[in-house]
Amino acid sequence: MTTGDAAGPAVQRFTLNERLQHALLMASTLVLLITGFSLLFHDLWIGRWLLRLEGGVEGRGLIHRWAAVVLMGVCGYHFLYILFTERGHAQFMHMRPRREDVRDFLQMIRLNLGRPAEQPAFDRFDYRQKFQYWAFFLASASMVLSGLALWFATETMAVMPKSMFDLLAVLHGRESGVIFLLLFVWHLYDVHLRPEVFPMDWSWLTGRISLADLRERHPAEYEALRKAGRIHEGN
Amino acid sequence: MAYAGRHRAHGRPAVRRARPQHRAALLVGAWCAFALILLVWAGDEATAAGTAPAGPGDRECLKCHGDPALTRTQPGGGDRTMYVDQGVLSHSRHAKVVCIACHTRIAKLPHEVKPGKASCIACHRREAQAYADSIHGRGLAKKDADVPTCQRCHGGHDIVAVRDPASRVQPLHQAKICMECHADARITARHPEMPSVLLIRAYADSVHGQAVAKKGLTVAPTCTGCHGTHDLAPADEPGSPVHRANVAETCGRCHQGILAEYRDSIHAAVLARGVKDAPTCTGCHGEHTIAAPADPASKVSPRNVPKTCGACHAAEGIVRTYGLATKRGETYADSFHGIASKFGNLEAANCASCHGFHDVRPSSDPRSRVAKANLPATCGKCHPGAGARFAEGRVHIEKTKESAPGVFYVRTFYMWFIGTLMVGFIGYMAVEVYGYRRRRRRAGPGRETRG
Repeated sequence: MTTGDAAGPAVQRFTLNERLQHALLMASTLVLLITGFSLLFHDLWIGRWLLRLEGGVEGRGLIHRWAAVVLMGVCGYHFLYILFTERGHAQFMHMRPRREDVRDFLQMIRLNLGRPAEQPAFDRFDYRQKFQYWAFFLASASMVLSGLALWFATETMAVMPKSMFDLLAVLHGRESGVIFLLLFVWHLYDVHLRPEVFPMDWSWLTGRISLADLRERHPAEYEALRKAGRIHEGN
Repeated sequence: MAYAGRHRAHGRPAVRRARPQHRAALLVGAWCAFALILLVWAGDEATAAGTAPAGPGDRECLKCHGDPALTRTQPGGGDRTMYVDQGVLSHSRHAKVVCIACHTRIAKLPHEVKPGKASCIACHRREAQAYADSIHGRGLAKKDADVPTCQRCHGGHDIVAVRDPASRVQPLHQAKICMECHADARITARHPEMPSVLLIRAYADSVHGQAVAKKGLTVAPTCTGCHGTHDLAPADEPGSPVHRANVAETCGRCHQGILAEYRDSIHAAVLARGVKDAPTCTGCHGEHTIAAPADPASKVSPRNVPKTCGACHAAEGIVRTYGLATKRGETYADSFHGIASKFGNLEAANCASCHGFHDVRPSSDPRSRVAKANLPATCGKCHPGAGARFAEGRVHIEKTKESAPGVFYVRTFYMWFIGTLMVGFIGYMAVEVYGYRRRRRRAGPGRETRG
């Protein structure tokens, strides 16, 4: 399990499968955000410019919907991955929110403010990452549902009053702002700007994390792996 | 062929002979027809022949005017030919009309040096009367030398019937005749009341002008098609065919089906009540610039419709004066239909797609396409699924609580939610970065602390 390289001994954190899921999710979400914002900001020069680039409203819609198909495909695959693979299931179990996450969060705040507190022992996923995962899940679920209703307008119009349709259209647009914040403020901070990882946490590309980083950022996981004999101290 | 050959071989006549009683009827009929033709022809010529004053015959006139060298010295200098080309005259509509029928002042020979202009009134009384009342005729009465007289438009000895392709006023050439004066800078300079030549020139590129010039259609209107011929009058005169109150009738002479639809519209109804801001045909379609709706430059092309309707329905003065529904344009522009249309989607609904074109009526009218009961059918034109439920809400929604409460609460929620998230995220980051720097400072220089 343990391997040595230029940055010191490291273990695998994400499998290639997981990294590909992330890459596809990232690509589709970026395309969705760009094509969505070009419609949301159609009154500004940036929106007009993007719309022209995307081939007008028709082209924009086409790209947006194809990206949505990719996103939904990745999400669907992710559910199957969680449900039917041992590895995926184990990852999901690590991702479940626990009471300790709230405690860890409060302890970190206290520590950062210079108050006496115990250093939290993060497991495989810390509260930042869990928040990221679950917030993005909820946000994209609302986007997929409202997006499908708008996409299949002819069908939804048969059962929905126009007021509901308008509401979903506004919700779809505003929720994109939440997703933008989650990704471009929270997530990019977490994986790029956070002093511990600056300039970038490479694990999303290499799939590996050095033992030193693992011990510092995920001490509980490190302990568990050591006890299980998967890593040997001093390597 | 084989059948025809057999037929001939039998030697039977191809046409049966008429029976005696039939022959008599045929003869009477033919005689009647002949008499009728003769009468019509005679009637046509009778006015010329009958009312012509006694005077010299054509042969006598041509003794002098048949000489190509005959000229008259102009008062301003130069010679003007007084030769009458028999070749031209004999091909004209007036080939059989005697000289003095038009040159009425000539009673004996030799005539005075300037016997006055040829007169058409003796035969063409009705046209002459209409002309006298027209803007041109009134100008002539004021001795305005610039106004066109009969000959200016119809020609002189070379005059042919209006329907004759060679006629100067035949639809294919007619606009050129008007432009000879209306595009003449010397004439327009003397008459500031004349319409701008730029306005008139736009006609050439219009759907009507192109129909005449490119497609050779003689049914498409030229200048006279809309403005009238002998009875021409400016648009601000109530009798003018292009006066606001008469435009629809004028266009409707060709566009009959549309006129029937328009007459039943709210626009026609309020126009009839004397509301001068109400649009008639030209209000939406333009005048000399008129273009087919499929032409992107047209005022009624799908992309331009919102702007054209908005010229009144988004004009604060008009909206306020007549108590029209407010914010129709901006709510449309903000809708998906509006955005799609603005960025070139020609299928997206514009004002007319839902409200109707010529038959536009207020939603309070049960026959209106946007009356509550008709909305499912109207929306259903593009969205077959749209049912009665879909049409429940308002269509033009504003950003107010009253107009669309659901949308309003969603907007308000997200405003606070996104704002709170933003503050929370940035606050958390600030705390974390602060803690990191603090620990590093405490650890002292040269020793890095992580976590």
